[in-house]
Amino acid sequence: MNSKTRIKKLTIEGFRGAKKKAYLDLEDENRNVVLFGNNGDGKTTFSDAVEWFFTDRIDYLSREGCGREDYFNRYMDPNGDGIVEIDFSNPTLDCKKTLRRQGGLAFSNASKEFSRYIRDSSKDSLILRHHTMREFIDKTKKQKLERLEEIIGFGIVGEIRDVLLKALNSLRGDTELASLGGQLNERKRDLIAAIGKDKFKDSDILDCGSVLIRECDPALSMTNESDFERIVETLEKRVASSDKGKQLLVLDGVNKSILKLVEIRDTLVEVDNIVQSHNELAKERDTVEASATEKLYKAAIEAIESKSVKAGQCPLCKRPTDTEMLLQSLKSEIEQLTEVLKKRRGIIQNAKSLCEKTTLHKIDLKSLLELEEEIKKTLFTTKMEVTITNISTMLSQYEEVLNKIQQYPHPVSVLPLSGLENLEEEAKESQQKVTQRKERVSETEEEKKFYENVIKLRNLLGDYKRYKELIVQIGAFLKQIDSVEKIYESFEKMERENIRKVLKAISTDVNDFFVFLHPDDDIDEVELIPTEERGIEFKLRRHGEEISPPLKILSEAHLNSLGICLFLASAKYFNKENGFLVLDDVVTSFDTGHRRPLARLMGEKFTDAQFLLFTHDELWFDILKKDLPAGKWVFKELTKWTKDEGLNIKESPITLKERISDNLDENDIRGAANKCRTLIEEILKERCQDLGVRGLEFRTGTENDRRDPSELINALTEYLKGNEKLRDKDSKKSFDHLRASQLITNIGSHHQSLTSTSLGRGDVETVLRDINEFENLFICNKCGTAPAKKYSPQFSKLKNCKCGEFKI
Amino acid sequence: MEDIKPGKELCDNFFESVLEIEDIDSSVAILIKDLYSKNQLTTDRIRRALKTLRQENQNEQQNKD
Repeated sequence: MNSKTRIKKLTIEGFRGAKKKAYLDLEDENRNVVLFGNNGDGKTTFSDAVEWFFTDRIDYLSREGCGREDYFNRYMDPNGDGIVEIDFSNPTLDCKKTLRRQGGLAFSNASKEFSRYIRDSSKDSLILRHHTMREFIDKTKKQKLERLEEIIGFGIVGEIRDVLLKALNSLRGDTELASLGGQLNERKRDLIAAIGKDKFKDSDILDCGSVLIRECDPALSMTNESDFERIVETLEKRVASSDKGKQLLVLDGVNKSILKLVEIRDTLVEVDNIVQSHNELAKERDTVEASATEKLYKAAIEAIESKSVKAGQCPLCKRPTDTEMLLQSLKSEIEQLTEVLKKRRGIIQNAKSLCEKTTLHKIDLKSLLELEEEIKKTLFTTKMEVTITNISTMLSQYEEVLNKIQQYPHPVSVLPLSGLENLEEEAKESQQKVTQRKERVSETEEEKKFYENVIKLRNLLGDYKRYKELIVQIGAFLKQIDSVEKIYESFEKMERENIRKVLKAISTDVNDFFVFLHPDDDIDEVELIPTEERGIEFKLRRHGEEISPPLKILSEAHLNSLGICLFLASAKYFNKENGFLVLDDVVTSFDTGHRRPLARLMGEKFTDAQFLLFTHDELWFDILKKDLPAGKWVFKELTKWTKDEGLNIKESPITLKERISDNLDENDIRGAANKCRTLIEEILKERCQDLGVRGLEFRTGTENDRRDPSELINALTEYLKGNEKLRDKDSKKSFDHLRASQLITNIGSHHQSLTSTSLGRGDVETVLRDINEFENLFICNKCGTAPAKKYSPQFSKLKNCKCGEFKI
Repeated sequence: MEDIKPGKELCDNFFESVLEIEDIDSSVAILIKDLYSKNQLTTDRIRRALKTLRQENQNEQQNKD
């Protein structure tokens, strides 16, 4: 990460908790920072600022419905801008980003290099917050995969896979395809009826055609498919050249239309059912609202994507906005409406399909409607004529209603279906009249046979041509589906292979880090594995047994550390631009035993990374001060946040004594007492460790931290009993004073009923004097060091100071 | 560590060689590739473009006939 970009200074003004200018100055880019602040003092303002600087948004706020207005400091000048300025290790990238009150935002750095940097940085995982560290662990397998894809910059891969899959499913369920399938079945049915076979091949149709042609005119013969159309055309012309023939052709069309009437009636019944379902749904307010919202949001998305609105302006309210953020938010809102709109979408789908049917039925009715009045009178009763007109009117009206249903969620009204109860009988009666009329038109049997055969040929050819067209259309459709399917499968395979590579790579590090943090636990191995269905999951190995998911056995703290390990591993591999990481309050739910290992993990495994560590945990802050090398780390504190001043940072005193002095200056007696107690504990632990007091040697982890100070002081007293140097009256007095001070500071820091006035400044000053007096007992006047095992010969009973002058 | 490419690069590479997928309709592949390169790859656009393509092919066929 060394060559990657680091932060030198972060300046914020008018942004989140920062009213006035606030700096987080790391002094040089090779330094890390620990920023301590109590909750509410403004630590998160800095992580928010970094997130917004690189991504234009603050994710956790967006999820709560907060937008750019919430990024401004609430107590600043209402016309003022929000500012986040970062000085980087590479000065050519230094930039001030302004959140303009009047809308939009601006970068002070207009260089191409900066544009590329900011674009590529958006792919880096830079910030881990305490409330997001467990998110990954708690997700479903599928969500884990999606999240991992985001972390490793595969978000676009997942998005495109989803688009391809949705397109594939949508093509498979396309109503046009269903309609073509329905029409093909109809044509097949008609052809089967025409040739009198259960199944047919193309040659069967041509054979049947040949027979009919020969019957019409033995001089005509069909040798191939193209002859078929030409011969039928010739015969039709022959029929149309006579009045009788013309009449027969018209009557045949009428007959066909009559046959369709029952089918049309059934379609109308289906439409009526859809209308009723739609009107029922229209009573559900949620659906109506969701539907209107979806329409509005889709229009807004379309306006943004087609660039019909100005960038940085909301197409709905015209107020300034971050377009990208708005777009994402609109899409996510639409996604959330899916469940409410499930029924409505089903109705729309059916309406679309019925609409296509009604269009075809209008063509079916055409020959009846265009019939000459005189012929109408002879074929239909008055009632039948009314029925045909009604059906035609209803078809048009129902088609209009179906279009409305697809457009709007509001109730619709249609003419009730009436007068169609006896349609079958009426149609049969009209068919008989058509047959009788056809009989009357033909004079001789031969003539009759000829006309019938030409009509049969015309229908056979029409059905066959349509059948072939439909096969081509359906074939083209299926070929497209097949191609999209192959593209999707190939894309998914590519995605799977690359995810597998990533999992293999980061599993090694996640395992390494986890074992580092939990050396004494009995977890042998941690691994991320792809699951059978689309997803990923952690797998643990304990005593040879494989356990998945980790929730089965891991504690809250273990799960949190797994979250940190994953973040650090993914940052190590996938952060291409930046060498810094922001950890915002991530140890809050860590038990104390794992805090020091985490500090060491950062120091040992991430020597090249720059950390910006924020914490509200004072004990952890103290541990870090001791464990992290001062040259590489700076320690800062936030003073109490006020609405007038905003947030403010000061250098944090390194030693406890300096911090006690700070507390006293601020008249924080309780805080000072608390730190005195910690100081006493530390001094006692150090003395016990240096001298190797039996049974109380320093140990890492919780055991050492849990020791009671009185236990330490008793053990030390016992150890020093035989030591002449410390047997004098003054030394004993110092021990007694320290016991008393320990008791006082315990009361002062633990008892809630005691206020700072219960424990005075003088009490704390006395405690500090007692501590100094006690410390001095162990310090060599010559070299200034305390006797310790490390300066003494092995197995020697007395321990030397560094110069060897002073022995205890 | 094996060479892990960023998602965008993987997608670019995939669509660059989409025509090499066996037994696919090249016009479909070109259409999807174009939508991707124009940053317009959405479900609706794929559907609409495929429908237009079918209609164009159908019209072309009818003109030939």
